[in-house]
Amino acid sequence: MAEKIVHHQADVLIIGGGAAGAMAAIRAKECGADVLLADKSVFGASGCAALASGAYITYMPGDDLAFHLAGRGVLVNQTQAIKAIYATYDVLKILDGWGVRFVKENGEIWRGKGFSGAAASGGLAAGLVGGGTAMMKVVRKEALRRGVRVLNRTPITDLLTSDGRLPTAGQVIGAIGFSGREEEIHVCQAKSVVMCAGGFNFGYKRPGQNFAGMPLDITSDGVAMQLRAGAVMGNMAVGSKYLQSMEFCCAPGIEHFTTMGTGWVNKDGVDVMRRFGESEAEFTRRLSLGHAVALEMLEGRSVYLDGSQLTPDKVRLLWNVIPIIMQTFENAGYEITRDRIPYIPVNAATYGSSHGGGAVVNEKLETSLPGLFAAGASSDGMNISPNLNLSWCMVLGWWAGEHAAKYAQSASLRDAMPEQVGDLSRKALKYLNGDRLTFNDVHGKAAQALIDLGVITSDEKLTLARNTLLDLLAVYDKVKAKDRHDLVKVVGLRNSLEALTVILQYLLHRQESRGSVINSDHPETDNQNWLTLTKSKLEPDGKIKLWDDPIPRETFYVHYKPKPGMSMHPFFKVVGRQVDAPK
Amino acid sequence: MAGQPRYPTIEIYKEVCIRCGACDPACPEDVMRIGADGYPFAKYTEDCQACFLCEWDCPVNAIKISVHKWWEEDQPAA
Ligand SMILES: Cc1cc2nc3c(=O)[nH]c(=O)nc-3n(C[C@H](O)[C@H](O)[C@H](O)COP(=O)(O)OP(=O)(O)OC[C@H]3O[C@@H](n4cnc5c(N)ncnc54)[C@H](O)[C@@H]3O)c2cc1C
Ligand code: SF4
Ligand code: SF4
Repeated sequence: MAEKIVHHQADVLIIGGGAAGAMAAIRAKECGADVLLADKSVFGASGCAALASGAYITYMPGDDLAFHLAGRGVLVNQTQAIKAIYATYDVLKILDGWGVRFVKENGEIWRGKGFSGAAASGGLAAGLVGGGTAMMKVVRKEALRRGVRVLNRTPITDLLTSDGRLPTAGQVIGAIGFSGREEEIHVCQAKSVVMCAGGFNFGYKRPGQNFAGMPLDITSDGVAMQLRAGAVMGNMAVGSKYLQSMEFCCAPGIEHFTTMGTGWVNKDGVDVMRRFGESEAEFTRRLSLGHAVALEMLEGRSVYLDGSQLTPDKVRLLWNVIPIIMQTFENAGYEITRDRIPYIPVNAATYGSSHGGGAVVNEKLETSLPGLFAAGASSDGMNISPNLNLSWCMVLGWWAGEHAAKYAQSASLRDAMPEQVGDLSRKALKYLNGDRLTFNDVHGKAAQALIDLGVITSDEKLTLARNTLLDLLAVYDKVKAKDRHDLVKVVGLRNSLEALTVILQYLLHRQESRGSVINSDHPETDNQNWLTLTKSKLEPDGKIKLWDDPIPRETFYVHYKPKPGMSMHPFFKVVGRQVDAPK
Repeated sequence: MAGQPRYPTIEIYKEVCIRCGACDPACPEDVMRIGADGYPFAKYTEDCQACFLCEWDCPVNAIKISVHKWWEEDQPAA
């Protein structure tokens, strides 16, 4: 190998510099650790965080806690969720102190109710001026100012372990990656490692597509690396299949237009959300929007964003907090108050940013593997929500940085086993000498398999898709990377496929329809049998074991009665317990 | 045109560019490279995700990213 091996040592290694990673790095540094952050792309410009719209979902003193909790659905850990809800405001104050600009009204932080954000949850969101893009620039500056060391354009490919094995029976002692530009392998030794490489996503668009709605560098790497290392994973089924607009930032963003005087209409001008009987004038939840779009599509109609009622003030606000989408509209020649802008549904399973599945972590953000912490969308986020968006990922990162730094104080650096370094470097670089398959060959077939899952899926379709992906993985060694840029993509796509096969396994396991998963074989949302957290682990024999754990639900704070004509969610009937929210 | 690759278009105006190099590290998708002459060029246009980060980071507005409205052709007849 002509590759140069570059060795690094740090107290804490952070993998990925998005919302969670940036905060973890800063906090670990504050706690006295020497911190190295490796990013596949460019720290501060990469990941979902830098493309995110500026909806910072946050609690503020005086808020009704039950309101913040209610939107999260029933599959969450209430105790941890409450802690995280309060912490969003602590992190907001920290960001404000660093100079991150929030939309303010008379000097006070403004919040919009329309910023419902994520998949299942509603919430009140402050507006980041310049979106996640501007925020991440400030956060990066803070990290660099404090002396966080950064490796850019260096995708980490696998975790290094004390026993030299994946899956490991030992502990995590660092990670290995390669440079996307130079002929270099990077071996990073660390006393503790924090996985912040973002969520599940079937990365990269098909040839001919424009914006895919998710950053192309997010390819489930964190999820796949932790899977291979044998970490206990959780929640991978929920929110993994989704309808979204591929052109205009499907991720939290486009639905923020609602409540500002916009709506979603079909070609006849009919408000599509009404069909779901929800009060969408108050909230457009992504889930119901997805369902409404699905229904219209099945009936052969397309859906449009109607911004004709937007006032100039509101248009200005949108430019402030959703700049990428507004720029895209303008660039494409649309005038938001004049033109109906099409919502284009994309294939299944490109959804990842707010996906709440990943390595199961405890309240110290420790995974099941000693030495490995996880935060943000690579973790299950302590199961605080079915989806993890910007503010929650930042909170989780902040906590992870602190605990990883504490852990490092009593841990020591371990040398990586030369055989493991050799094996993993060969594994990463082998595609440079691949055979005849190209990235586009594999990507195209996988994309088609996901499209074939359809809006309404079934066990048969799920099995078929899974088999197609397994077949592709079986021949994956034949893929040839044209150059190092292509190598980054090829390695990423492999991670996407590995994560996807497991997600499909989860979807087959949970015999119900829930959230964005609509399965014609199991039409019920089955709260009798599936109020559980599905978990998995890669066993040494190469098989994935799946099981279900109960969700701790000791404290479920509800203090309101259903409004006239409304009924309580089935969960309350199941739990049969109502208590007052704490003051 | 259906079936044709329709990538975003990346235009770099050399007459405006001051060769500061900011657009390469601005791009999350590793699309940009700085040529031997110091001017940037789009080496991997097919991976451009039209996020505008390079355009916004350019101090002199020397970059223009354009998206294609191909999705309109793919819509069911309106
Ligand atoms: C277009 C868009 C708009 C959004 N808008 C909002 C919003 O308005 N409000 C909201 O609350 N949420 C929003 N979200 C969701 C939010 O951005 C994400 O939930 C959040 O950023 C996830 O944080 P993270 O740190 O887990 O991952 P990310 O922010 O995605 O960061 C992951 C990081 O890991 C790096 N990485 C990946 N693989 C590797 C590897 N192998 N080695 C090293 N580094 C790696 C990436 O380069 C990146 O820097 C949006 C998402 C998108 C895509
Ligand atoms: S628009 Fe985004 S992806 Fe395209 S070249 Fe510029 S920074 Fe890179
Ligand atoms: S950022 Fe603008 S001025 Fe600087 S090199 Fe790129 S195109 Fe030229």
